[in-house]
This record gives sequence, structure tokens and C-alpha cells, in this order.
Amino acid sequence: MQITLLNGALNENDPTHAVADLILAELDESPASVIYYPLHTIPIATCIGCFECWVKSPGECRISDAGRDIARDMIQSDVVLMLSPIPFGTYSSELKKVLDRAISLILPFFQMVDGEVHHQPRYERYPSLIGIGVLPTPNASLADLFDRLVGRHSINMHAPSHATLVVTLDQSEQDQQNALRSVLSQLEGVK
Amino acid sequence: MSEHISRRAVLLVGSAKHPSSTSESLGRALLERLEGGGYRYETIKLVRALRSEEGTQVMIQAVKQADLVVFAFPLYVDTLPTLATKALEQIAASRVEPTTPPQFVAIVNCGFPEVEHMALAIEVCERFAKTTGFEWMGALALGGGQAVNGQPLDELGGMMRHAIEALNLAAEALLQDQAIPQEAVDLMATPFIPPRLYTMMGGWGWRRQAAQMGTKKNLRDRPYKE
Repeated sequence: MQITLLNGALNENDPTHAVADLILAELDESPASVIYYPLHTIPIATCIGCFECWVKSPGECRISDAGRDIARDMIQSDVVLMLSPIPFGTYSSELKKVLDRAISLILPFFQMVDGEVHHQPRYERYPSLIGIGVLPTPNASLADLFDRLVGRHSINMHAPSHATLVVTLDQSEQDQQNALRSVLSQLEGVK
Repeated sequence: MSEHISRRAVLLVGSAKHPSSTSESLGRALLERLEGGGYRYETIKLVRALRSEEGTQVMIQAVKQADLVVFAFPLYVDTLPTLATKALEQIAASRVEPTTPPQFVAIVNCGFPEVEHMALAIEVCERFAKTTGFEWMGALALGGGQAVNGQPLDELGGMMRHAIEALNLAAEALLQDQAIPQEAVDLMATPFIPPRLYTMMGGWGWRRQAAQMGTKKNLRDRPYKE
């Protein structure tokens, strides 16, 4: 099993890193192969909405930087773990910069899904998506918004399955670890 | 109607498209209507402002001095695009609770015909506004945003008549310090062509662009297939 872990911490002091360390320690004990991207340390250009990845160089972003490599690793993985603080219920800008660039992984053409228009898949298989949000303290409405966002995202990215977990900084490390272990243990190939 | 002679507005454009975008067209169309009621406004394109610390500070100052912030952006991957997210993060980090909360309006557009895709992004904006010292005045969402394609909205006429009427109603309400009415929200959400026709035309449009670039046979390529 291949897992890509995207760490959307905003800077080096972001407490999200401590959660990333717990995830990495947990995965280190599993047979899974892990590709880890601490995104704020990696220069990645913002998507400019040119759609060249759909029409000029189909499947590949025109910008030659790590954004391309990460999109490739995402589609070649079985699971993408999206770790992020949850500013106002959404993904952090550091995580979003790679998610925006990953539209190369789907087609411009439309299809109907449950009565709504969505994009068609480009590939035969897609990774499962797991969103792990980090909040300072429990906030049910932000956690709910984050959960719905990952659910919507999984439709557009054709994820075969998805899950979310929100950990809070007022939890003990042991409680965070238990919660992470509970989500990760659901993945075949991690146990 | 209230007097707004000395009131300031700032339009934050979250689209990276150059030279103009649907986000900017929609934001400008609203603010041009408010100008008639005494507002003056400036436009800040986040793609330029957030490129440097200096530009970021200019954006933050403009927001601090504004009586009304119009936050216009395209939906990218189910939520705010990177630039718009980063702007909210930066504004929140520098925010000092003001004596009189400035008003905050969001205008979202996306390539899907249904506005339901934008509901989460609007919730994010509402949460931002309510937790960082703004008065939430509501949001407008336009599906099928490519049809505007950065053109001045009022010049598009007939096809955009619902959107134009929505902006008229929204401006009228804002000039009276009232939230955007549901009627305006519903009008903006009215599809200008049936969704099935829109999706067919969309597919045709992508193939036409690809044909011009000589990539029509490659549109379904899988460069990262193992």
C-alpha cells in the first residue's frame, strides 16, 4: 500500500506538525510505503486557472514544480492523507495549493452524480481520501463543515472511500494517538 | 436610502486569471451599483497582492479601512481557492476587533451549473466574517461562471438578466445597510440555460479548444498511469 501524507501546516511553528509526527510514527510501524510532503517547506506555485492541464497538455500542469510531482504521487497512491488546520472549516492555504493543482487528475468533461454535475474521471482508479483536521479546541460546527468538505471533495476526486478525523490541541497526545490509530487501522495494508 | 457619501469599499478578487475574471466582473458590477449610492471602492487582486509581504500589508490595510468588503472568488475543488484561503488566513491573523464592524459580502462563481456546489464555500466565508469582527451581509453564487468569462456583466445583457437583477437588488439592500435578500440569492442562482445543455456545450467547448491546440486526441491521456 502506498500512502501520500500532505501536511498543510502553515509554518514551522504550527502545532499541526506534532500531529504529523504522530501519524508518521504510526505509519512507520506498518508495512505501508509513505511519501511525506510538509507543504509549507516546498515552493509550489498557485493554480492560475488556465486549464492547460485539461486542453494543452492533458493530464499535466504547465507549471514545472513540485505541484506536478505531488499530483503524480497522489494518483499513484492508495490513500491520500490530508492533514490540515481548519481555518473557518476549510483546508489551509498550504494544503489547498496542491489540491488546486491536482485538477489535472480529472477530466474537463462532465457527468451526472446523484443529480449533480461533476467532472469525469481521467484514471481508472483513484486513492481514498482521509482528511485529518486540527483545531485548537473542540468545535462541532467546524468539524462538521470539514467533514462535509472532504465528502464533497471525494465525489469530485472519485475517491472509492473517504473518512475524516478532527483532533484538538487540548487532547492529550495519547488521546490523539488513539484517534489516529483508529482511523488508520481501517486501512487495509496499514494494520 | 441611507447616506454613504464617505464610505469605502474594497473588492478582493480571488481569481488568478489575467487580465480579468468572472469574479472581478461580478464584484465590479456590484460595486458600480454602490458607487451611485456614495461608495468609493478600490480593487485588490489577490494574485498580485499576496505575492509579497508589502502587497499583503496593503491588502490588510485596505480591509481595515473599509466599511464594506466584497470578497469575489471562483470555486476551486469544492471550496475557496488557495489565494482566497490565504487572504482570509492573513486578514484573520492581523485582525483587531473594530469598534464598528465592517460589512462583508461574498460572491462566488463556479463552472458547474448548480449553485449547491458553492454552499460550503459560502459557509466558510460566513464563519470567517462572524468570528473576525465583520458584519455578515450574505452571499451571491453564480453557476456556469465561464459564460461571463471576465466580460463586463452589464454588457452581456439578456443571458445574464437574472444575475443583473440580483445585483440590483443586492446593491439596493446594501445601500440601506440590509443583508442581501433571498430574492437576489435566488435570482443569481437561476440557471441561464438548462444544466444538461450546459454540460453538452461545455464538452463541445473543451474539444474545440483542444482542436485549436492539436490535442483533441489526447484529452483523455493518463500521463501518470503506472
